[in-house]
Amino acid sequence: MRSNNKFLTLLALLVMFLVYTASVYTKGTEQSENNPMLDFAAVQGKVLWQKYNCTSCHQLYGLGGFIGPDLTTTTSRKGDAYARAIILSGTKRMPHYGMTEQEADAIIKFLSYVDSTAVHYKY
Amino acid sequence: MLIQQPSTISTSEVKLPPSNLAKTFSPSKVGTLFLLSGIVSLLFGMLFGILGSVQYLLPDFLAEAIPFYKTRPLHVSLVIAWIFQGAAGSIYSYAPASVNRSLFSETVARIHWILFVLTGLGIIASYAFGHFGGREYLEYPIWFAIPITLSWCLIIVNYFKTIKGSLSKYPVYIWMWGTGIIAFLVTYIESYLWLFNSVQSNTVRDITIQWKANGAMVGSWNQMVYGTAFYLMERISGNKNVSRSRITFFFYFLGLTNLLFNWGHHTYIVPSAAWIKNVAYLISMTELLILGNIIWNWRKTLTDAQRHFHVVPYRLLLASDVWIFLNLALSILISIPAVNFYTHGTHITVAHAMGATIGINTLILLASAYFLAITIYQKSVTSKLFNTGYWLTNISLLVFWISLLGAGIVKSLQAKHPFSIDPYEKYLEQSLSWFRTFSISGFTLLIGLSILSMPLLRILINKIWVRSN
Repeated sequence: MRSNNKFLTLLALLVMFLVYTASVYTKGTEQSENNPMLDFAAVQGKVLWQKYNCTSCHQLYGLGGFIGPDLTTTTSRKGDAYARAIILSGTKRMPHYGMTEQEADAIIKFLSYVDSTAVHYKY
Repeated sequence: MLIQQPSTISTSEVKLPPSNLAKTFSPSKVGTLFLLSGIVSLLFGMLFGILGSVQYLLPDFLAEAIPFYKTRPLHVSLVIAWIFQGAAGSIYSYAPASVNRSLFSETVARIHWILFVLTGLGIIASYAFGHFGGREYLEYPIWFAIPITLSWCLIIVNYFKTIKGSLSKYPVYIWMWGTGIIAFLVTYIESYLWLFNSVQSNTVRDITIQWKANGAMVGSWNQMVYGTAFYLMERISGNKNVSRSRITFFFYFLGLTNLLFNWGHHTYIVPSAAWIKNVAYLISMTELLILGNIIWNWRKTLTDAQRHFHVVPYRLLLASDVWIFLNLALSILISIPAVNFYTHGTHITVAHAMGATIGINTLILLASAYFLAITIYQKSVTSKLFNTGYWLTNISLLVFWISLLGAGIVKSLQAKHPFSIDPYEKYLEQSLSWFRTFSISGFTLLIGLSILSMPLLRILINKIWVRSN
C-alpha cells in the first residue's frame, strides 16, 4: 500500500469516527419520553449502585454479572417493597450489606428510573 | 478445519534456534519485567476466577472473607492487567530493535512499570477491603484512574520517541502497536465521561458511551496483541512480506474500523437510536477472519526447519488460530440482532470473552514471552512439560468454553425473554451441571497455564536477576 494512501485512509477513518462519536453523544442518545432525565435521588442511587459494586452480580440491560438476576425491570415486576426487603436483608447468595433505609430508597429510585426507560423489555 | 495437527516436540529439551538474532538484539529489561509481572497477574487472576466459579456452586464458600462481588473484579482486573502488561512487555522488548534503535528512555519505561504495578497493588487492596466506586471492569475508586492515565502517557511518549521517523515505511506491527496505545488512552478517558452531569443524568447516553468505550478498549488491546503476533510471524518466518503486504495493511485498517465503530452489539437492548445498532451490525466482526487467513498463509510459508527451531511460539500461535476461528463463528452468530436478543446477558457472552482473552490474547502473549525466552535469551525449556501444559490448557479451555455455552443456552431457553427469568434460583439450579463443568475445567485450565508459565517465570526472573548483578 502506498504511503499516501495509508495516511489518507487513516485520516478518513478518524474524521468518520469524530462525526460518529459526536452523533452518538448527542442525537443517538438524546432525552425523550422514553429516556427522561435522571433526578437527584436516582443519581444518588446510581452512585450507591457503583459503591456497592452491584454490577458484579446483577445486570442492567443485560450488562453486568451473571450470578444474580437482571434488575432492569425488577421494580415493575416485583414491586418496590420486595426490592427493598432484598436490599436490606440480603439472600442466601446476596450479602447483607447493612445499608440504611435511605440508601435502599435511593437504589430503588435508580432502579425505577432504569425500569421506565426499558422499552425493549416490554413487548 | 484449515488447521493441521501441529508438529509435536520429540526431544527432551526444545532445540534452540540460531543465535544470530540474539546476538544483535538487546531487549529492554523493562519489557522482561512487564512480561514477568503480567504472568504473575494472569496466574492470580485465574485463581480468583476459580474461587468465583466455586461460589456459583457453593454460595457460602469464602462468603465472609472474599465474596463474589470481590472475586469477580479481582479476576477480571488481574486478567486484563496481564493482557496490558503482556502487550506493553512485548512492545518494550521488540519495538526498538524493529526500527534499529534503542528505547528512547529506559528510565521512563521503569517509571511506567513501577506506577503500573503500584497502582495495581493499590487496586487489589481496594477490592480486598471492599472499596469500589467505578464501573464494570473498572470498579476501583475513580482516583486510581489518574496514575493509570499518567503511566500510559509514559509509554506513548517512549514509543513514539523511539520509532520517530518515516512511519509509512514501517511494518504493520509498528502501526498496530502505536494505534493500540493511543486508542487505549482515548477510550480510557472516554470511559470516565460519566463524571459529567450531561452523561450521568442520562442513563441511555451513559450506558451507550460506557460500552462504546469498553468495546473500543478491547479493540485497543487487540491492536497491541495482534501487532505482537505479526512481529512474531515475521521473525519466525524471516519473511518481511508477512507484515508489509497490501492484505496485511488492509487487515490493519479493517481492524481499526472495527475498533472505532464495532461496539454497538453490546447495546442492542439499550433504547438508543436504531442507526447505532445498524452501524455495528454492518461493520460486523470480519477482522478475525482476515487475521486467521493471514496466519494460515504464514504457516504455509514456513519451512520445516523454521517450525522446528521456533516450535514453541509457533504452536502457541497455531492454537490461537484455532481459537480465532471458533470465536469468529460465535461472534458472527451473536452479532445477529435476533440471536443477540436471546444470548445477550447470558454465559454465551462470557464464552466469547473467555475464548478471546485466553484462547487468542493469552496464547499470543505466551508465544511472545517464549520467543523472548528461547530465541532471544537462548534458554531452553523441557519439551515434555511444555507439551503437557499446552494440551491441558487447550483441552481445558475447550471444555470450559463449551460449558459456558451450555449455561448460556439454558438461560436463553428459560423464558420468553432471558432478562426476565423468574425465579432466578431455578435457572441457577438447572445450570448446575454446566457450572460444575466450568468450575472443574477452569481449575485444570489454571494448572495448564501454570505449567506453561513456570519455565517462563524461571527464565525471566533469572534474566532480571543476572542482569541486575
